[in-house]
Amino acid sequence: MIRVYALLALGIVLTLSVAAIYTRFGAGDRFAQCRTGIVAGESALKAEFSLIDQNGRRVTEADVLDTPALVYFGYTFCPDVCPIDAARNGEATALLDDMGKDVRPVFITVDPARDTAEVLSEFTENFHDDMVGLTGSTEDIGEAARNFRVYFKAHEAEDEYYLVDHTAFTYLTLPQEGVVEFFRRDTSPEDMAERTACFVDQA
Amino acid sequence: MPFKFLASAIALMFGCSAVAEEALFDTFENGVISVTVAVAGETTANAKAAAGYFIVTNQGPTEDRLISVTADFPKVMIHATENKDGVMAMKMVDGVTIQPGSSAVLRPGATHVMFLGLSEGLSEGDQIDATLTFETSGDLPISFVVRPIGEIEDLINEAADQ
Repeated sequence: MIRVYALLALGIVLTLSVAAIYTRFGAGDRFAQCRTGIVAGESALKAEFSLIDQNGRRVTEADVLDTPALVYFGYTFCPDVCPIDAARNGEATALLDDMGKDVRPVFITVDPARDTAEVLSEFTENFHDDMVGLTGSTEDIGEAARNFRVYFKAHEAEDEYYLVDHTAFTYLTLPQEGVVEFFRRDTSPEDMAERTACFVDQA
Repeated sequence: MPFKFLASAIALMFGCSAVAEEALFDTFENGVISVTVAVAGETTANAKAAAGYFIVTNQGPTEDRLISVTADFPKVMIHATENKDGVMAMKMVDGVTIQPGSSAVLRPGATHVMFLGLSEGLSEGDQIDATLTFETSGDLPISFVVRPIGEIEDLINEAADQ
């Protein structure tokens, strides 16, 4: 009997998976030729937030993601991967500028306690003139991260030099489409620009 | 040595950038351990943290271990970043073991030195004097050169791949 249930469960899972794959990669997907970094459940990501930008203004995705955008979650205190990833995203944006494609790099902090609007303003202007830095209350940052399925966890603070573990993907969002692609850490600026351009052209 | 000369000539002809880049960096040695491409990432003006990287080679006959780094900052630590399915998790490590005749590479996204509590940001060309302490071979004074953050990964990787 247990075996029957197991088979039934397996059958349901397989049917759902095929359905999901069909929906995702079927004839309806006009971005099919652009996709390389698919992750299961990626379409469940919601590009939604209500946060404070680097100039101290409250903004939502309607204000910030009204052009194609490269969204990254990190923190400015992080000396190793975050500035390197932010620099890469800035460089990819500059390459897209050269290709005549208007894309906005966005840096959302996972450390709102230390990353004030002012700190973010100084950080983002280092990497690209159009880079938007976003902070907010712990709750608002938590909600933004949940929407993007970003994991983050601050280490216990022994002093002011605590660290924060976090997901280090970059998400490509398109107006009306939401998150259409993500890039891993090892993606080069050139590769990121090229793949982003493909989506922008198909949009 | 003719072969070496030939290799240099070829490198010159093709403008081999990795060779040229590496030549820009000092090598620090204490007879057993040598350190090269000691670089730190440029930061914003008010940054409180920076990261340092280098390639350390053990030319001695026995294993050695980097156990601490000191520099003129409130806190200096050795950290390892681990990439677990896209989540970057940092943890403190109590040392870096270098096997005889081999190298350890401190590079972005992996093991690195953390300089904490900077009083001002680091700009390209700045130098950070530091002392590396090894379990067996003792102290080695080195100097990190500050480079733009976007260049560091390539600088280290190119030199490490040689």
